[in-house]
Amino acid sequence: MATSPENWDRVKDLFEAALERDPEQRSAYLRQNASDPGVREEVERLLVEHDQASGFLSSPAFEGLQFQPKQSEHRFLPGEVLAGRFRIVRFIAAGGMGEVYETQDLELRENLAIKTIKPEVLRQSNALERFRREVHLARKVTHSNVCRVFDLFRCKSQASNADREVVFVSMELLEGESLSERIRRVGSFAPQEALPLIAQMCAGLAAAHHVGVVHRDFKPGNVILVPDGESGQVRAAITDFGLALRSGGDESWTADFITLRGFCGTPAYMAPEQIESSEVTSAADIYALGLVIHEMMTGVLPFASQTPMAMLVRRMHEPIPSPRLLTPNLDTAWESAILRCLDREPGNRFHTVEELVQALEKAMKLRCQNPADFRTDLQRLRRNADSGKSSGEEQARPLTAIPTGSTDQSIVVLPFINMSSDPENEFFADGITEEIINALAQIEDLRVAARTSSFSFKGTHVDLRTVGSRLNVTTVLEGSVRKSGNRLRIMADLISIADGCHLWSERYDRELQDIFEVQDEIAKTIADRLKVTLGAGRQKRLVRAGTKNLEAYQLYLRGRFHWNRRTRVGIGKAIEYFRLAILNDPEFAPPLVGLAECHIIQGVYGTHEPHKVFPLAKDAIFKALAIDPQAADAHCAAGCIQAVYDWDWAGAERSFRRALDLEPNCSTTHHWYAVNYLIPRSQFEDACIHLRLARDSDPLSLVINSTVALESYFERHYDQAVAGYLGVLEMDPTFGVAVFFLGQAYEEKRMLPEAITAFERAVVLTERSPETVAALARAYALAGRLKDAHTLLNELQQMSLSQYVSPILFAQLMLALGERTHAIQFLQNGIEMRATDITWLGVRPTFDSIRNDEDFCAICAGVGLP
Amino acid sequence: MDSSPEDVTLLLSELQNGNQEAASKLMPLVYNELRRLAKGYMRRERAEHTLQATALVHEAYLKLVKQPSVNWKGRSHFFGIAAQLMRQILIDHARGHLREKRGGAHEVVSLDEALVFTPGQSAELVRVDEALERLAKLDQRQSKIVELRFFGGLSVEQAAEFLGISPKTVKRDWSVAKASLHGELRHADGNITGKLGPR
Repeated sequence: MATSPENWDRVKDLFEAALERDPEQRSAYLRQNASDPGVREEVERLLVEHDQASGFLSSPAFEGLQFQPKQSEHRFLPGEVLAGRFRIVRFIAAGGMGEVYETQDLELRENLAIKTIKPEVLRQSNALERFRREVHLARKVTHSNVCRVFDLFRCKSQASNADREVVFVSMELLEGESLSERIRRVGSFAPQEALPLIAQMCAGLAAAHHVGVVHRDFKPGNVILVPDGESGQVRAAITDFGLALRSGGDESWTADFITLRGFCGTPAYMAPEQIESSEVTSAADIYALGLVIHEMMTGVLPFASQTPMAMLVRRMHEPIPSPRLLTPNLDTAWESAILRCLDREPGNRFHTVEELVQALEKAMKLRCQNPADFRTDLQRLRRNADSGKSSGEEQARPLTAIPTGSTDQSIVVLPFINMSSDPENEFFADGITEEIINALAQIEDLRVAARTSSFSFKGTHVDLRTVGSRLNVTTVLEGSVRKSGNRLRIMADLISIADGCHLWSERYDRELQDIFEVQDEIAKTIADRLKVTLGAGRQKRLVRAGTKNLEAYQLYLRGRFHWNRRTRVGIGKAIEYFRLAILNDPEFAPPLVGLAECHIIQGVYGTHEPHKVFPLAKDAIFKALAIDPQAADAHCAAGCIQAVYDWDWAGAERSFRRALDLEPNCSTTHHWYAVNYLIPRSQFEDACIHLRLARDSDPLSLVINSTVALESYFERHYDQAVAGYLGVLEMDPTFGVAVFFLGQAYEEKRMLPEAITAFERAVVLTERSPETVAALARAYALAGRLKDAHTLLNELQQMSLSQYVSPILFAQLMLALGERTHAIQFLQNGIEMRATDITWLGVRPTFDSIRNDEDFCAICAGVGLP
Repeated sequence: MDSSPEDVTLLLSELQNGNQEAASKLMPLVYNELRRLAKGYMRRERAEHTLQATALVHEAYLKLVKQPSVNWKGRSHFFGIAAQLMRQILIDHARGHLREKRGGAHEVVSLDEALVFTPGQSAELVRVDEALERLAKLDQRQSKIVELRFFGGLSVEQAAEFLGISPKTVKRDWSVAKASLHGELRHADGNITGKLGPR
């Protein structure tokens, strides 16, 4: 180096000053200011070097440097047997305290891992005691996502150093790559790939935290991904639990371990408080988890471009940059979850790992239901809104969430997902969904999609906008139920459809006995969030605890589950469960109502003789109303019985009205009131109003939509009826009832070939139900195919020997065959048998030919019809 | 050699108070600790070795300086010392590596495990070290800054804190020193291979 120390300061000053000038001005500057040519030359030389040295020494010397362990250090060789029991199979890895081997347990004849403890570690005082404690702690944590630790062994080595004591820990053998290897291999994870692994890691950590164990050295290198050959799933197992401590060996280290305080862990994944030696709790694991998730999603740790040392320091002193800078399409919910884990303040992080998982899962669920097309839709809508604004044709409407404070609030409760391990618990998830629907239906200002409509989305993956437009609702409640013994975990999530915003979400970890409370809380919170007012007198409870007998309640829910299938077998099973529920708690009203409804359906659908089922229904309803005079569904069922069986029309009207007073939004009540009372009494206008209300809350119900068309048919608006049925059949072409009704409308339109085709199809779809067979026979007769008509008549007569066939069906067929006298006889039979379909006598077009007949009028009067 | 945390803390606070002797007492303690930890690190976490050297220093720090009473200045002092040690360790190994290549015995302070240098890296490191020695004779502080930044991985601010000077001065000295070293290394064998540049 040419420069003398005396000149050096001058050189540095000139160098610095020259650097501040533009390159082309530097020479002139130096000529003016550097009087000593030696100094000037040196500065010019340095400037040249400087321009070339930009990348020089820019990374620390040790960065990227690798350590390579010597391979010859394994203390045990394959074949050697430890403690007379564990035969070394192979060396797996070396750790801070010793080495890990795969061994064969000669006693139990299975392979497991052992972790040997290094002699130098053992020589430290208290070492053995420490390991005992560690094994104790590790054994406390039994979870499939935590590597199991079995036992501590001490033995003499068989090898040359025969007197040397060997200490080792036996543990579960995990075969798979570590998460750090996986990250290195794949770069980064997609959320749907990451979530199952994160959930498992959280489950493992949760198990530890629950027994007061903090890992303190959680990192990708300590997570082993074990492929499960059968399921194709990967099991993530956390290792080095409680064994994460280094071979430090001083006393305070031991004390640290016991009090779960102090320094341990890998700096790259350390929480600030671990460095600062403030108290280390499970929050430190959550911090580490945040770093691991960051790494999984972006492929790197925060501040990764810095030197590792600076990375650690910066994490302590600066806010963590958004991981979305690295992975721009990262869900914002994931981003905030990661950043919350990495909060400098332990108290601000997620309080438990479960909370973290929940946040990520929620985000995922939303993402699944808001697929890309949702976003595109939204963008398109925004564009339209914008262009509309600019052209002045249309005012741009804000696409924000539902307008709060408005009374036009509407919601659909999507079927809660059964998250229990037992798929059989589906009935429970369905039951809770239905209970919440019923609770919300009591709120006057809230329009609630009825059960049938919401359940039409069960198991489908329709995006929320589709749900919203098909049901015409603005908000969605979805959730899940996990039932395990007496423990319940219910998660509920209220989402605005317009923008996918979460309005509210909550997790309830409760006992089964709190089920009514939880349902009430959910319903009330929704009312609160949607700013709707509860109806007068309903401030107290929307869901009443009908029973303290949880067995009865669950049997009731099972009954509902089968009832909702509306099949002959389903109704039969529902009756069984409702009866069992009643036996368990005779004072519990809902199963009594359920039982009555089952019997009513049996009577109304004509599968059972009215005399056999309606008395049972009446009995159940009588008891139900005695227990709970406020039960709207009981009043509705009572109205139905009074109308179709008792022909007590005044009583029926009172019951239906009472039911509607109690629950103004119940679609079933509106429907039943219309179909069982208003239509038979020719009150078509009112029937239309109630059917519209029913359909508004249950737009996807096939039955309600069919009844809307049926009303047109009874009102003699056949074109409208046909259109209505065709609409229903578009929703479900196999819905036999609609096909059957369609045939009737064609028949009245004198489109006999079309009617016959429809009836023939209905016969097949309903597996030859008496009413479809009778209708087909009638159409044959009207078309002049008498032979075919008589064949079917024979079939019906045969049928009536083994099952109930309504005499009204025979009456209609007789009229088509020109047998008027027989028809009247059958109608009189109908009075005796209290056939439910006799109540439609006054409006049925098929009786128009004898409407003025004296006998017919007498029969109508007998039924109490105007 | 047993090093109790108390000793280290005491020495660090002495160092802070200007007792330069403390540094020379501290050195063997820290070095010993680094060696011991390095062994564990190298065996344990092969998959994460890019962070190892740094993690090593940190762990040594964490092990030795547990007391919450040690403030950030204490840390920066420690990192300063660690930088010096890292330099010594790396250069020892680079020399050993070169000697080994020439068939000589590996007689350096051993970490028991081999540090794996990329081809050419060892020679470069040794030359930087030698140039740094010469620079130290001319400008002790510049040499120290290079040691802190290049061998210790300290940021400009951390180096400034360690040396008790302004970051601006550190920046200036770092530029000059880099230019100077760059020139020297280039002149020695005609060109810079870029092996010590950024990856």
